[in-house]
Parts: sequence; C-alpha cells; structure tokens
Amino acid sequence: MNRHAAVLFLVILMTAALSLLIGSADLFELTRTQWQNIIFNIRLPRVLSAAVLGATLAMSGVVFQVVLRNPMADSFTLGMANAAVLGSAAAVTTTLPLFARPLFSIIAGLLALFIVLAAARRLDTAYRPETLIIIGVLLGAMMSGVLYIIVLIAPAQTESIARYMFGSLSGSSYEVLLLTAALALLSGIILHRSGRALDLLNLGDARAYSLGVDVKKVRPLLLITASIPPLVAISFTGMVALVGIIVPQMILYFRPLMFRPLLILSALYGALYIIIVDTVGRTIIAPIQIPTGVMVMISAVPLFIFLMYKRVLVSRR
Amino acid sequence: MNNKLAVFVLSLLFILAGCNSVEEGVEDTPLENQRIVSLIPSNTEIVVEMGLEHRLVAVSTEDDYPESIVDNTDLMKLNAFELDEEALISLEPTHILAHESAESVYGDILDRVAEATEAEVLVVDDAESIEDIYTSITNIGEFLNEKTAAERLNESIERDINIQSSIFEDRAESIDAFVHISPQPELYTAGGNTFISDALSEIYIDNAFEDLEGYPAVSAEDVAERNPDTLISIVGMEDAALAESIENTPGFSELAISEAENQCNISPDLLSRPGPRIAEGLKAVGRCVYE
Repeated sequence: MNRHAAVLFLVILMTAALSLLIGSADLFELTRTQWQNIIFNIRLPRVLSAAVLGATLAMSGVVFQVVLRNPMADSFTLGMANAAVLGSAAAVTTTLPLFARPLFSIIAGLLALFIVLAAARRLDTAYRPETLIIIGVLLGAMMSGVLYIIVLIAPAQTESIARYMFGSLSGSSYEVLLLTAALALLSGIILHRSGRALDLLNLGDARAYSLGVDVKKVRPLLLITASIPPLVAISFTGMVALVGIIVPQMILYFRPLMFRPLLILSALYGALYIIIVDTVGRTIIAPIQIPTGVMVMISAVPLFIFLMYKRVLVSRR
Repeated sequence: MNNKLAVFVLSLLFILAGCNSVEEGVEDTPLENQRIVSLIPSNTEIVVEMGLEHRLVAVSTEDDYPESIVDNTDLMKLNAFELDEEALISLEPTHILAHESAESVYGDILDRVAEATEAEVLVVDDAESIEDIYTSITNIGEFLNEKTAAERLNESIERDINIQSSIFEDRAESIDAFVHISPQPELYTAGGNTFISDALSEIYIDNAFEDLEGYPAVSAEDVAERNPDTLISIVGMEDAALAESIENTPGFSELAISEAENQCNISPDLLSRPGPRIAEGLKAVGRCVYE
C-alpha cells in the first residue's frame, strides 16, 4: 500500500510536470518573461487546483459511500453539487463580500444533503441506494431549474448557465487554491483519524454501535466534514460530477480495501484523474478549451456504466 | 333550409375574404402604410437613420437606441429570443427585419407569421466587413422601397469612417489589440473575418487574433502568448470592474493590457452593432488608443 501510494505520487508529479509544459501556447517560441508568466500564473495554479479538486471529490465520495453504505453516493448524486452552484450563483447576485460565495455553497449543499436523506428515509424504509440516488438527482435537476431562473433574472452578475453546469478550472488562482487545499487537508486528516469508526460503520449500524461507535453522532459529523471541501471547490469551479463515485469504486473493483488506504489511494487517483482530463480538455482542440466538467462527464459515464455492469455499484446489504 | 343558405353564404364570404387578402399581398404596400418590425438593434438603428422610425410597429427588447425608440410606448418591444408569435401576428406587420445570427432561434416562427399575415421577411446576413454593413443597408433599402435613403446613409457612414481614418493616419504606429468581448472565465474575442476587425483596421489597429475566424473563445495563455499592446473591451463593464477582471485573469497581471492606460472601455453598442454608429465607435477607440 505504501509503495503503491509512493509510486502513484511520483506518477502524479510527472504528469503535472508534463501538463505544465503543454498548452495552447508554444513555450519555446516565447520570451523568458512570457513563458514564466504562462507557467507560473496560468498553468501551475490550474494543475494544482486540478489535483486538489480531484483529491477532495474522491475523498468525499469514499466517505459518503461508506457512511451511507451506498456505492453510488457522491456530491453529484446526492444533489449537493447542484445546490452548491445554486448557492454560489445566489451569493454573487447579493452585495455580500467575496467569502459569501463558498459559505452559501456549503449551506445550500448541506441543506440539499439533509433534504435528500430525509426524503429517502421517509419514502423507503428499506433505504435502498437507488431511492437515495434518484431523489438526489431529481432534487439536483430541480435546483438547476432554479439556477437558470437566477441567471435569467441577473445575467449581468451571474455567469452563463453552461459555465455553472460544467465546471471549469480556467480561472484558477492561488488564493482559491490555498483555501480549498487547506480545507481538503484538514478534512482529510480528520477523516483519516476516524478510519476505525468508518470501518465499523461499514459493518452495519447495530454492530458498529455494539463496538462502541456513537452512530447517531458520528454519521452526520463525518458527512459534514467530508462535504465542506468539495462544496467550496465546486462553488468556484462549477459542477464537476461523478469523480467521487468512479475513483473509489474503480479502486475497489480491482481490490477490496479498508477505509484508510482507500481514502489515501482515492485522493491520489482522483488528483491524477482530474489533472489528466483537464490537460486533455485544454489542449486537444486548442485554442478552444473544453471545460473540466465536460471532460469528466465524457470519461466518467462510460466507467460508471462499466461498474454497474460489473455489479460493483449495487447495494451490498 | 335557411340554415343551409346561411352556411353557404358564410362559406362564400370566407372564400371571397381569402381571395381578397391574397390579392392585397401581391400589391406593394403603399410606403406610408408599411408596418415594420425590427428584431435586432443594428437593423432598428439603420431603419431609424433612414428616417423611417414612424413606420416601425415593433422592435426587440434589446433595442436601446435612439432614446425615442425606448420612450415610445406605442412601439411593441418583443423578446427576440422568446418571440411571442401571437403578439407578432396581431401587429399585422408588412415588413419584418430579421438577422442571420438569430435565424435558428426564430426562423420557424417568422415563416408561420409571414404565412398568417403575408408580411415580407428580410434576413440580414452577418456582416464580416464594413463593406457588408453597406450591403446590409442597401438590402434593407431595397426591401423597404427606400433605395435613396439607404444610399444616402451609406455615403454618410463612409464619409465618417474616412474622417476617422484620416485623423489617425499620421500617428500610424503598429498597434496590436485584443478585442475583449466577454470576461474571464469565458474569454471571447473577435477573429479576422469580422466587421469589428475590419473597422479597427480602418484606424490602423491590428487584431491580435486576426488569424482566427468568427468570434472564438480563447484561453488566457493564448492572450499572454500574443502579448497585445492594448485592450479594446466591448463587454460593457464599469471601468473599475473591467480593471479588476483583467487583473484577476490568470497571467494577465504581467501583460501590458493590465495597465489602465492600455485599456479602452468602449460602449458595446457602438462597436458591436453592424449599424450606422460604427464610425462613432471608431472615433471612441481611436481617441482612447492614440490620445
């Protein structure tokens, strides 16, 4: 496991380095100040943001899937991603200062999570994974409708609807990167330390409780801790979906793992995945830039269907 | 029996009414009875400059020039992106001025309206050069049976553009401009085959993205690579918001265009409408760039 992680880390570094060198501008034909500007002010923050976004989405996915015992749970299928962009759009139409944006996204995202969980529990006492996901996706669709209304009312303050629906890393700055990276690190440490409780939760509530896990308290705390970093990241980039499902579930498809190694590997593979698809997206038909969210959708949905076909994404209870 | 007769008479009336309106459509509408609908600001400005404002019965909600159009409450304001077919039919227009850029949005609706009201529809082509603007005006003139007014308007625009061209002729240093159409994170610009690019060349400004076509989205690093001397923004932002947006675009803070003196904030109505005020737009750009 440690060797696996170390090798993976090296691969990420090499991919990131390569990503710094390719782009729509040809570095070798530029002056020194020009290529320095392009690498350090445009490409480096973007590559680092891609790594942080991928890691945080994948980590939160792992936690959602374990805590809810639902392999299809992530910020998108629970309606939280749509809620986060809705919150972000609502924040820019008010006169509130800049930090309102991530704050609104966190509140809206957690509220959506709460509604989806409550509605699913009410509708279906057996609490099947499908019920939860259908409600989450439908609530997400409804919130996209509300988002569109906001864009129609305030086109000057908001961005285009496509930009919200398909997240993009093109505006990455060091400030936002620092904020999301700090939150991701903090949340990652807390989640890693809760590894034992999460493994026990995976055995079922009754057994976890009998082994000393205060299920009622731990479950919401873990969900909130895992939610905040991706919600903040999404509030700046726009929607990036499904990473939280396919990264951990692909890892589990090849090898069953306990929570802690799964968390670390998911973060690393998530980072690598987003770096790769974002680099392809911004170079393949340059100078036209394909948004990160689009590249993720195009690459993730086939993997998602593959995992469903292989019966990985079904309830294990 | 009476009933049958009534039905017969009624259907005869309808048929006659039908014939009647067909014949009316064949004839040219007398000029003063024209009921013109214009669905894009540039066409509206052209119609007004030709002195035909009083014949307009509807314009689009985007049309904000001249003031008299905005203030005229008798003039119906139609949302061109969600065209209200019924409202348009009830206006009984005789001439509808549409534009190529929105054909896909309202083409079908206009076909149906034309069938219902027998209005004639002119779809004005996208202008790719100043010459195309003159052609659009000539076409509109022929369509509305006002050829002389169109000719006069074209002459006056050409004269205004030539004046601007001659003013800046002497100071012709080589200036590379980045035309800023939408801000970060979706940086759209004007490529080579656009009337904006062609107009700028009249006052000796080169387009940094001359090699691209149409109105492409470009990346921040493409702009950094081309390192333009000046920014011509037609986003319609406040000066401060524009400066902030440029400063916050990755990589722009080290470029010449991040400095206030190299930023020209031009009203989008002047430079982005292929209409009579293009010379005014060039005047604003020329003053900003050279003075």
